[in-house]
Amino acid sequence: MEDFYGLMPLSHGREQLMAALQGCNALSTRYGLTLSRADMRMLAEKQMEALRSAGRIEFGCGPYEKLVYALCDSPYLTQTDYAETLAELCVLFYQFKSESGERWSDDELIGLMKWLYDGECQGSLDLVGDRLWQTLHTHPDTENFAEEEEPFDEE
Amino acid sequence: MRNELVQAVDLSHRQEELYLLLERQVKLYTIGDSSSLPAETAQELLRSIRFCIETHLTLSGESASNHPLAQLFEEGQRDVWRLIQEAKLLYHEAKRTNPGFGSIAYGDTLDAIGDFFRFYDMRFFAHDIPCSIDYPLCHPVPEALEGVRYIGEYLRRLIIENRFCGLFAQQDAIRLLGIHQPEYRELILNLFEPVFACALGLALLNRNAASLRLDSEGCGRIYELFRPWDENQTRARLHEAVNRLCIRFRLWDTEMRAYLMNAAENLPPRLKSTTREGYCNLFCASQQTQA
Repeated sequence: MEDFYGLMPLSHGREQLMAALQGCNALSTRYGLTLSRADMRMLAEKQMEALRSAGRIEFGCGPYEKLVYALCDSPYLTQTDYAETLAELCVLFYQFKSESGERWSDDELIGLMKWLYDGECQGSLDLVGDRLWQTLHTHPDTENFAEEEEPFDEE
Repeated sequence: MRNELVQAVDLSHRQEELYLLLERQVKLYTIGDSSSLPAETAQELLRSIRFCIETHLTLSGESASNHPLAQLFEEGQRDVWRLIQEAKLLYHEAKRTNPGFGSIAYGDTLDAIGDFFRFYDMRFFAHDIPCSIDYPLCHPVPEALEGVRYIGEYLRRLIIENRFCGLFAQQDAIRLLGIHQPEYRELILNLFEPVFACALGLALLNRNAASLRLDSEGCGRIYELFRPWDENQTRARLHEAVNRLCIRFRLWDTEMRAYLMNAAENLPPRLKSTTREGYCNLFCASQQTQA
């Protein structure tokens, strides 16, 4: 297989991601959440690891920006674990995308993650992970599940 | 043969341009729903881009260095579309010239090529061959050919074989195939080869090739013809026999002649090592001596 990681202009993608995360701070600061430069670098590394582990290639900036917009008003998210939470959700995001056979769009999946995180999982990342896998096994036809549950309407 | 179609184009020094093209294709493929893809899918999308670019460069004879890759890709997609139209015509011709020998593999392959046109996705997976080609040709299409170029070349070769087999009375050819392999209908065998070998054997003996009737005594004479073994003389005799066939059946087009010459070129190694009895199998002789 061709080495995609060699083909991709990594530095270019990383710069884009750092700029996007910087932009997120403008919104999240209003909720008392900020990412430092070190956090951003850690998130960029985590995203790269998550992609490799899930066997995926990212052609945009990844899910962080959408995750920040979706979760910044969450009552369970605090500055202490803000960056780690984003990193963990990023790992879950890519794993679930691959495991679900591409049947969830980015927006749908982030909507589901927010719904679980703010809802029954009450900010527990372990539970979010468990519930995501349960979703896969109990609802093999996830498209139908998405239509029935409609948890993705962003406010 | 169109072996010159197999030509790899080195794009290693234009990685960034290639990446931008891939990025564009990913957006179209996911309809913006997802910014990431499984590596395997991205790999296939990239192969498709390369295929389109290589197709255009091969068909046009242009050099990649003079043009932006995005332009070459678009031109390539247009070329692929034209090749699909051409392949559809070839497909109808292949069905029209089907010699009707009743081979299951042959029939299944023709059906599968019909499916190819239904499932072929030239926008994203132009290099792919979404069907199973079981029936073997006398001269297989180079595996380096992909997508519609493979199918087009396969059909072109199949039509040549069909046309040759169609020169003979169907019942004679079926009888011959039955001698060659009684279960030929169920087996995955090329049907042109035995017909061609028998006709060539008859041409070597200056007999009526249209009859497709060669006996073991005739095969013995062919065996003697090539003894003592002389590679150059054998090739010369085979070429002469192919020419005789072409004149006998008025086969004037160069593609057909080249195909038959190539088929004859396959024979010397087998003729050299085979016993007198082996010649009977090779030239599909009936066991009885003709009256």
